[in-house]
Amino acid sequence: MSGLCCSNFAAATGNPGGVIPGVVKKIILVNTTDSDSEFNEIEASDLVDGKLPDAYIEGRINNLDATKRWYPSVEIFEPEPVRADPNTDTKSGIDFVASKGTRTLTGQFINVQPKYDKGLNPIYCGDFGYYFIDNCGKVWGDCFTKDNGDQVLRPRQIQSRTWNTNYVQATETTLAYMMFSFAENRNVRDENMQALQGTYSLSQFNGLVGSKAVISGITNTGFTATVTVATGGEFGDGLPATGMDLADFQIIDKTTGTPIVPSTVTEGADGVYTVITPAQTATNTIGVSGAGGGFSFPETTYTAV
Amino acid sequence: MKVVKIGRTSFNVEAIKAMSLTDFKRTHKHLANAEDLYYQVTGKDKPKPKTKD
Repeated sequence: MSGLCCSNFAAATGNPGGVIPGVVKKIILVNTTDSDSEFNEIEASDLVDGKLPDAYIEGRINNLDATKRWYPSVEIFEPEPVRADPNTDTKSGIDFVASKGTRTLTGQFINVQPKYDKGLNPIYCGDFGYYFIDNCGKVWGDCFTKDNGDQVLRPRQIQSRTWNTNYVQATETTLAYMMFSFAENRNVRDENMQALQGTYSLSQFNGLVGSKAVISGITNTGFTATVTVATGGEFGDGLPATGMDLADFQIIDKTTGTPIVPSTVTEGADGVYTVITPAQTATNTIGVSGAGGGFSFPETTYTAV
Repeated sequence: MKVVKIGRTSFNVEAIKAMSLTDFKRTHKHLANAEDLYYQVTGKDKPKPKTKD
């Protein structure tokens, strides 16, 4: 926080017990607000039998709206979540604490390609926050009390333009890895760090693999989308993004703003999807994006015939 | 939206139910067994072949 708050009443110093943050194993990156200008947050009513259900987690990770989607990282090694020393002002030889230091998280992703960075770039200048999963299977965020008294768990806000990555190549004695670091927003308080009820497995939180789609075979009632993994490590490669289905495609007539619901999606060859839609208005611009089945691809457009 | 997956094709059940068999076959020429799939997805009764008396 930017400054320290003081009050005249005594602090409560009893230890209430409860869970303590463990070692950070993964982070889940989340847009602070979504396309509806609503905060991305977990409400108490999202819990079922004291736990966030698998369907909720999968729905978030595969959400067709990229602003509502969760972006779990790969496993983190050598995590260092630390708060810097406080900013002090020395008066008459006494170091007065003016404000707390900035909390940062650094860590390493191993066994990733240099291109892994591409999917992370938007965090630098975007408005993102993060949950983290610790080695005890607890998911941590920032507890926030709304005006109506309801408590929600929001992602801990990342300070814009502090996200940084650095790909370190292998040597004779060391692995290749991607180092990352960021700072939390100064308004994020340690005292609000709380965990979700329930314990979770790291394998429940796997991010979608960035892909790209090429549209061909356009007819009045559909098209073919060839979806390939964009993060392949070899120049000119394109591994097929196989296993997506109808619910993973988002199609919109951008000329009218009308969503288009496909009738069928057939995967012929791996990663090659024949999409059949209702008849479209010729010359209108159609946008196609996708998320699900382990993959996501950004919007690509074509002109209806 | 109810989606069923048969083989490598996922179907929007409501959309298929709203289509005639003729329209379905016209727009789904890439499906080798389009007629059978249509009846399977819609739950409609497939007409029995006429038998010679």
